[in-house]
Order: sequence, then C-alpha cells, then structure tokens
Amino acid sequence: MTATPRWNRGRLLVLTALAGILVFLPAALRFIVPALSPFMFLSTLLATRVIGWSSLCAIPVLALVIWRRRGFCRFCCPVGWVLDACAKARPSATCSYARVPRIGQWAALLTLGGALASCPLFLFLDPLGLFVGAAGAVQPPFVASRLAYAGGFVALIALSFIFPSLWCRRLCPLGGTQDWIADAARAVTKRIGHVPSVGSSGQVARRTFVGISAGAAVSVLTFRLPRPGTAPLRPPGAVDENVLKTLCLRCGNCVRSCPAGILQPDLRPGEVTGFLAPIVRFDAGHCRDDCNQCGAHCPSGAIAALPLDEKNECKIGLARIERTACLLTVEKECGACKLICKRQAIVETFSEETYSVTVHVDEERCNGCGACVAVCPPRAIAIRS
Amino acid sequence: MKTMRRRDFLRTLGLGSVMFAGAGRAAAQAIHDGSRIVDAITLSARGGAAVIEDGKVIQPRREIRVLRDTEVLVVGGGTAGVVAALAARRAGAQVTLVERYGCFGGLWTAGLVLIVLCTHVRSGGTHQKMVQGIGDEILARIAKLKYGAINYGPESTADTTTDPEVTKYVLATMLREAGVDILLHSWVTNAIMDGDAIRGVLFESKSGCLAVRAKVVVDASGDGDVCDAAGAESVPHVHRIGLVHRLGNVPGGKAPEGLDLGGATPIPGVRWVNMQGPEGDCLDVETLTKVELDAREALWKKLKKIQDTPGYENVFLLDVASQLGVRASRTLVGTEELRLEDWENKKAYPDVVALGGEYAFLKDRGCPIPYGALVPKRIDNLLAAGRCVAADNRMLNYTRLIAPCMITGHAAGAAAALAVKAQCTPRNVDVAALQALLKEQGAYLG
Repeated sequence: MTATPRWNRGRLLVLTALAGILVFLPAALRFIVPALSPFMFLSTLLATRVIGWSSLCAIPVLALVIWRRRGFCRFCCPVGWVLDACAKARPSATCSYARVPRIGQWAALLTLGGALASCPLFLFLDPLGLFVGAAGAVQPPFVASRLAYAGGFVALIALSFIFPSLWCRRLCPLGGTQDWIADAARAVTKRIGHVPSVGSSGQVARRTFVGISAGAAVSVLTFRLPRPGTAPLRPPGAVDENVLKTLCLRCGNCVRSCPAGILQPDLRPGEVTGFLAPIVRFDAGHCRDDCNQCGAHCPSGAIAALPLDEKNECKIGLARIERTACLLTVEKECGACKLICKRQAIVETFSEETYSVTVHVDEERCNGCGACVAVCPPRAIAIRS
Repeated sequence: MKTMRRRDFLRTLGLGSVMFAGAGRAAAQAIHDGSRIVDAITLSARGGAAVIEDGKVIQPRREIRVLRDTEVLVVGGGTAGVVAALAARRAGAQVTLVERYGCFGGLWTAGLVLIVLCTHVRSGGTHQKMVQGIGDEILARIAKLKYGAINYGPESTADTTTDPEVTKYVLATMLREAGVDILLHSWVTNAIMDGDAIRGVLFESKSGCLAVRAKVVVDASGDGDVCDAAGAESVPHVHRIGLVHRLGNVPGGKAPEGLDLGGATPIPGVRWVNMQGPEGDCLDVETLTKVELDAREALWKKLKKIQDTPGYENVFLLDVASQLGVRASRTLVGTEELRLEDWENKKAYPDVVALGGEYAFLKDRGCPIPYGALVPKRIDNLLAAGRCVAADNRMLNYTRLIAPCMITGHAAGAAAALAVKAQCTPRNVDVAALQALLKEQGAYLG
C-alpha cells in the first residue's frame, strides 16, 4: 500500500457537498432522512405499533436491501459517504476487522427485541438520526445547547480517523439490520424453495432468537419497572417516559421545530438514559394551542403526531400556584393567569369568611401548556409533572 | 294688581307671627341667622309626581328643560372623561362635562385606585413612555405638587402612584383652565335620540331632571350607561367588585407575613389597600348595596387583625373609597373589538388612535387600540371612552386600567371635536386627521 495522501478532488467535493447539505438540509429532509432507515422503521413499528406516512420512505429501502445486500450503505447512506471520505484521507493500510464480532447486528437484534417490549434499546445509534442531529445543530439560528446533537456524528468521524470503516462494517446497527434482513430473506427464500436448510440459515434463526429475546428481556427488566422520582416535562404527545428515553432518536427535530422555543435537549438528566431527550422549559414561552410541530417532526413517533385538538388534550404537566406569592391573595390587581388560560383551568374562589380571593388549578382542565407561567407577575406559577 | 302667591302669603303670615311672638320678649338677641328663603324656581323640573294607573307606577309625560346646548358632551368625569373633555376643548370644541359626584377622577380618586398602571413598556429591552400628551401632562402636574405622586419621572421603574386629593384638584384646575363647562352632582340617566342618532342626554340632579343637547356625546360613564340608553349594542360582564381603603399611621419596614398593608402612597405612613372582592353584576343595585355593606364590614375585620399585630396597634382606617371598585360591567360592541388573540398575533389596525403600555399579560410591547373600539356599530354621534370601550372579556382587564382610560379618553375627545368641526358623525371622521390631531396634542402612537 502506498502512503500517498488520499485527498483528491472528488472526495473534497463530496465532503464540501455534505457540509452544504448539513447546513442547508431543509426541515422536510430532516424528517425524511431518518425515516429512510429500515432499522428505525422496524424498531418504531414494533415499539409504537403505529404506521405513519413516513413508513413509506423505508419500504423502498427495505426492498433495496433485500435485493442487494447493504444496498443502502453502498448507494444512499450520507454517513457512509462522510466516514468513507474521512477514512481514505488517512494514509494507512486498510484495516481488517474480520475478528471483530458483528456488534451492529447484535445491537440491531437487541433493539428490535427491546422494541417488542416498547423500548428499542439502541435506536439512538441509528446513523441517520445522528446525521440529522448534526445537521440541525449547525443550522442557523445557532443555539449553544443544540450543539450537543452533533456529538454523535462527530464521534463517528473521530472513530473513522482512528479505525477506518470499523463503524460501517461492524458497529452500525443500520448496517447490521441490512445484513440481518438480507440473511433472513435468503433463509426464507431457501426454505420456500425447499433448499435443505444448512449452515447460515440455521445460524440466522438462532442469532435472531437469542438477540431478540435478550433485547426484550433487558427492555422489560430495565425500562418496564416502575421508577421513583418525578419525571421531567416532556413535549405534548410524548410516549411513556421510560419508552421515550429509548424511542427518542436524539435528532433534535422537535427542538428545532418548536416555534415557541420551549423545547430543549436535556443536558443534565436525572438518569443518563434521558440524555438529550427533549424537555420543556417555559423560560421562552409556552406551548401554543395552534401548534403541533414537535409531533409532526418526530421521525420515530416518540412524540406522537397528533391533530391540534388531540395534542391540546395532552398534558405536559400541571400548573402549580404558590399561593403565598399570588398577587390576588394579597389583594393586588391581577388575575392574568385566569384570563390567559384558554382552557379555563384557573379558577378563582371567593371566601365570604375572609372576604378574599384565592386561585387554584382545575387539574382536569389544565394541560400544562405554561401560558400562565410567563404572565404571572410574581412568577408564582410553575408547571410540575 | 300683583297676585299673592302662596309663598308670599306664608311669608306675611310668618312675619306677622314673629312680630307677634317678638312682642313678648322684645329684648332677646337673635341666637343665629336663619337661612335665606328663596323662590323655588326649579320646582317645575320634576314635572309633577308619578301617578298610579291600573296599579302601576307611571311617570307622567312632560317636557324636559334643556340646561345646555353644546358641541361635545362628555358623560362621566373619571379619568377617561376628563382627558376626553380636555382633548375636545383644546381642539376647539365647546365642551360640557357631566359628573355624578362632586369631584373628578372617578375610580382613580373617589375609588382610591391610586396606582397608574400601564404607562410604559419597560421589559423586552426597552423603556418607552407610552402615555404621553394630556394623560402625562396630568401626571406631571400632580407630581409637581407636594405629596402629589411617587414613582413618577423618567428614572422611575415602578408604576406612578398619586394622591387622590391632589389628583382631584389638578383635574378640576385643568378643566377650568381649558374652559370646559362643568356640571357636577348630575347623574346621567337617559339618552335623547333622533332615530339612530343621539342628540344629548337627560340627567337627574337636585334641580330635577334636565337635558343637555350636544352634537357628539362621549360615553365615559365607565358602565356604558349612555351607550345602553341610546340602544347601542353592548356586552354585560360579571367581574370582581372591590372596595379600596387607605390606612394611616402605618410603620415602615416589611410587613409581617399574612398582613396586607397594601401599597405606598405619596403621603408617608399612609398606604392604599386594594380589595379583590366577590364577583357580581355591577349593574344591579342590590348587588352593589350588598357588596358595599359586606366589604365595609370585612375591611374593619382586616383592620382589627392589623391592630392586633404588635407594632401596628396605631394603624387607623384613614378612609374608604366613596365609589365601589367596579372592574367591568358593560362593554360596547364597536365596529372593532380589542381581542387578546389579536394582540398576540400582532394584528395591525389601520386606525390606531391609542398605544398603551405593557401589562402582566401584554408583555414587552405596547397595546394598540383602534378607533373602531370606540365607535358603536349602529348609533351615530356617540363615542365610548374608558372602561366601556369595545374589548373582549380578557382585554377589558387592560382597557379598564387608568392609563388605558387616559389614552382612549384622549382619542375619543379628539375624535368628537373633529366630528363637530367636520360636521360629520364620529364614524366618518378622517382617521388620518384624527391621528395627526392626537400627535399634535402630544399622544404617542408609535
């Protein structure tokens, strides 16, 4: 092997084009690109049992990978292009990873098994999700906390400089899914064609069984058990807290789509599994009743895509009013929370005894949209889960 | 020959009897002067007593004496009415102002709501004075007097609070300086209509029922009484009714937990205490009576609690507002309506005639008020100002405040004067000319 630098014009062009795509990737593509992944398609299908129109994107890809093993990696995967270009920039010999186990395929199987119990364990490793996360992170408007979404993609690039092609060949669960699909498809066609089942087809079945059972078991044991402590505030329509931690791709689409700017990546989660999952902070505004963008932009269904009226019925949390700080209780002119609340969830009660007014929250009506938080002059209202 | 009237006869008789009695004690000194007996020339204003016909009380048909014939009539001498009268007068119109109490300022003074909210936009990185022109001129004159106001001036970040007596004095002075014709102790009760056009109002007074004829009427009654009497469409509201009071001799420092000592006033040791009160229909006399009585009782209980607190034994009840704190009663259905959604969506009105300061639920930017919110849908020659302008049940919590009343009053007064000058109905007033006049009078329209 020659030690000549591999930066030729073609690769530079590819990288420049990708940098351009990263910055200018339109919102619709940020939604569609992860939806292409059969890994994510199968995992979310099993976990949510919902087929959205985004599933249509994955079906041609599924056909492609059945027809051509790893067809998606070869022709379509933007992460593969980048990592390839980076790897070839390194003037070293090609590495052989023959002895490295197919970690990606095991990750995929565990994830699919977990998905059967609603928790697709390693879904966050989906390279298209990482790619879209990076794209969202570097696109204007620039927000420092969103940079965290680029972390996964940066790590992959760093990895490809040290171990060229290791990710694509052995670690990538999307690649592993494609291998498994191709293997399984071949095993099935052999069975149908009455070809004696020997060797690999038996292995496929065993591997599938072991991986999926283990994934389901882990998912049930770690994510289905009740947990103490209060859950963070999640976007409206978010799935169950434990499921969300695994079903969320960490692509940052919801955070970017929120016009009120109240969604943020959780940088300091109570549990490490919640890292970068979206949380609601009412500093910048409140959840608008004319918006359901976060759900509409979620490729994995971790936030359900709901029509407006249904979304508005989803509880983010509940408003809690600190009575002693409330202006009305000290007879000051206010009532701002009551009149801003479009759900009539804030109720004033007058006591003839004390001849004074107190306000309280109708827990049935309150959806935790946070509209009352910002208008409260003494900041006496907080949304709690 | 002069016919002897009953009074003359009585006077003669009385004189005769005094002389007769005086003969008995001729040397006795008069202890005090008696009152001066005058001819009751206005007795006929009552038009005779009501009668009972078929068991019903019937008021007889009669002619009402027209006490004034004016160009612009402003009903209500509260914040909006005073500013409207000043604006119209300064724009050259002949103005009559009718007020039911003996002082000006309405809830700002007689209601003891001393804080002037919403004069500025202070959040969102700006510090913009929104209430300028006549409203600000009033505040500046109040602040110039000793113990007139606190928190007034460009360096203040808190809301201005004024003294009620200084405010009453300044308002009356400014009205008289401007040459506004004033009628006090006159409670407007009805409208004079000519089809869909209002031609004036009737009011009750110690002189009985009298009329004021006017080319344009500004309803600054707060309750929209004139709009209702004229048949203009309006929306009734139920809101909390309070009764404000002032405490004297209040020691400084932080009040103990749970003790409501209200807000500071310009007078040291005096604080004004707001009351939220129960919800009720402010257009129902029995509700008003009950709340007035209950609230007075309640605030004496509260005072007892304060006086039982160590260090606060010498706090006393300085005064209770002579006007109930009616927050919302009736709003006009205008050709345009202020809605909270519209403010949130930054709706642009082509006919902005007032731009108010921020409030708890209207943060970071001003609140534009369109001319259409002052103009009734159907009735001509009538404008609303102050609390009764067209606003939904949320925005009325803004339009009812003192500073918004100043600016809607300013707009209504200026518009009324323009309508008189142009000999048109207020709805046909040239909005560009109105905006120019308001700016000329110092109003801030952005």
